[in-house]
Amino acid sequence: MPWRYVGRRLLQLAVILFGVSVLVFLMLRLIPGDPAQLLLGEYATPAELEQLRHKLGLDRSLAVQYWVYVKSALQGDMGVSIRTGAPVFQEIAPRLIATVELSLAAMVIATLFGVGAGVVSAVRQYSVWDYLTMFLALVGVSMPIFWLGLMLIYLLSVKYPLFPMMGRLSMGLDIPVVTGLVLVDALLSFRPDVLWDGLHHLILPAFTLATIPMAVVARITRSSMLEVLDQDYVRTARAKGMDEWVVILRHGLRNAMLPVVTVLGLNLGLLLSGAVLTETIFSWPGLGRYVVDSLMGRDYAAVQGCILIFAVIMTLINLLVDLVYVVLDPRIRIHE
Amino acid sequence: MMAALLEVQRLCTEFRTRRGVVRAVDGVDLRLDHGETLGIVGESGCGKSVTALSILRLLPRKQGRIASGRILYDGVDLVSLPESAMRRIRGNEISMIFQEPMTSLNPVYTVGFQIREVLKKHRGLEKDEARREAVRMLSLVGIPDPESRVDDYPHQMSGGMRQRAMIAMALACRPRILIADEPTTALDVTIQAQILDLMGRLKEEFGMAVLLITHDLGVVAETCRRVVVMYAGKAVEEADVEELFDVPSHPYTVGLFASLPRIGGKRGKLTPIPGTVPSLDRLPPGCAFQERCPRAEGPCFQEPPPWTAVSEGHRVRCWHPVEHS
Repeated sequence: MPWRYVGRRLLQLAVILFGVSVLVFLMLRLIPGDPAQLLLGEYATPAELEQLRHKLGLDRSLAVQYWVYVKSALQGDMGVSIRTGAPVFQEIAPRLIATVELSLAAMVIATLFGVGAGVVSAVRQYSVWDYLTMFLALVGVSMPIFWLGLMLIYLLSVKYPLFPMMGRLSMGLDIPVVTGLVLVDALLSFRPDVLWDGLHHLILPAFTLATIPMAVVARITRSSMLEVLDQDYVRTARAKGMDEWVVILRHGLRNAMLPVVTVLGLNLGLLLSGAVLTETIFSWPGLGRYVVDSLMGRDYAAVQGCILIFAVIMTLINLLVDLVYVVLDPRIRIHE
Repeated sequence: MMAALLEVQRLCTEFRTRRGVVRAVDGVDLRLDHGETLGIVGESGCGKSVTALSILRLLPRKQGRIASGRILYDGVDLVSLPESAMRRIRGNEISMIFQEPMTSLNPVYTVGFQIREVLKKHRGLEKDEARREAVRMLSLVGIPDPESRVDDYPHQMSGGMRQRAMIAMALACRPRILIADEPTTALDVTIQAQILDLMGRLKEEFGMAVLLITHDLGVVAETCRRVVVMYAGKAVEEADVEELFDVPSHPYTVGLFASLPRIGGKRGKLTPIPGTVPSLDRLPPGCAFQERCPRAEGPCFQEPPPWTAVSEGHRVRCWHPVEHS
């Protein structure tokens, strides 16, 4: 593993975070709307507003405000949410983990089914299966997520109550929180019933969230596989007498994975930072909903915290994708 | 006469193209005896590679298919063999190497892995054993320091090395036939000679028969015993190498020789064959070479020429073969 490279990329992260923090800080304050006014309501007197602004530090210059913010952020203090009065970090952490759980589940579904469908489509090009998959993929990318989510709830929770409608666990079930990931905690505390219940809650939102990435991944896998299957080395593998599945998976798919990994990385980043609709529909207590609510309430500290987290996630995923490239293709070398 | 190791009889291979079905190989007969080297010569697009791919049934599935004919290997018709039985022959009893060593090896696996793969598949070797055998094969094909080169990826090797590695892979299971499709075309001249040398040496050592496909008459002269000349999907002349070089009979073969520079010959202009190979979907009636042939007349424009014997073991498909006195 090229540790020096990883180290340098992580140093770059610091620069990115600085840039993001300045941008978010300024942009938030450019949006019309006064946090004090929102908190106190429209009948607040000017004196009361002035007092609250002073208390929140909003009456100081932007430079000073930013300096205060950065100084405490560097000490691990992301500020206090003006809506709840709780430290932003405490608010974000559990929601982030809920979002991670949902996004990862969606990515697993999207990868397994997307790659699988793409491979079969490429191998059986112009077959009924190919046309059907590509049609479904088109439907998948064009379908509004909120509509799909609502339909799934209506069909599979209301009409035929197979799945729970909302939340991460049924009422009354409780397990000690270790990682915050329900499925992992259930495993750690040997609670198959909780594991099952958590899975049950996860399936519909994860599937809803997976639709678009799954469709995109299927299409990319198909076109990438079609290109690779025409390569000379695939013919060589056949000429060696390899079984067809070895030819397709070992010699074909591994070479076709680079563009797929790129798309997977991009989508994972998007899911982690933008599962707002799905989280709202399925009442999933994640970060997407939280950041939108915070923005509506002009909760500067909360929004800043969330955006910084998103920036970290995006950067780390990009780094991860680059490292996966190196693992997948020995011709790609990192220049130290 | 002893039974041939490989006998191709009236092979027709068709390709689906946008302009309809095209016959890339049209009624080709070949005979390859034990331990023999047979050359197939012709311009690009004459069907020589397609013939080779047909033998191993490696035609691109969507477009190509064997329309008719038989391919007898040890008396068994490969055309009708089930795919699973065919897989036991490929890379095991009949191996193939290709023109482009740059693209014929899988870039994401080490050379050693790709050789081990074939040893595991056909000879059931375990990992360590297969690795030792792979190292042995690499040293056999003249790759220096095989112990460490076995872990190289293809991109870490030069073109000549890669072709050597391809040969090591193709010969790992001691095949009885090696089909070499333009094995030296993509290589430097000096490397070409080395690779041909190597193939000749290994052929003797392993007692293999070789089917060598090339457009290069020089390569043929150095390596083959018999030659088949192909033009527009058909075999047009067949003879022993010396005979073909001494008394080429088909005007196309004569043209091929005339377009070659000769060391020690008179200085002068080379004589190219005029015109281009006709498109396979628009072949004229009669002989396919008529438009480029200085001797074409009468029946050449109406009937495809039948085989005519020139001498023992030398036959030609021409209405007006070139006579030598």
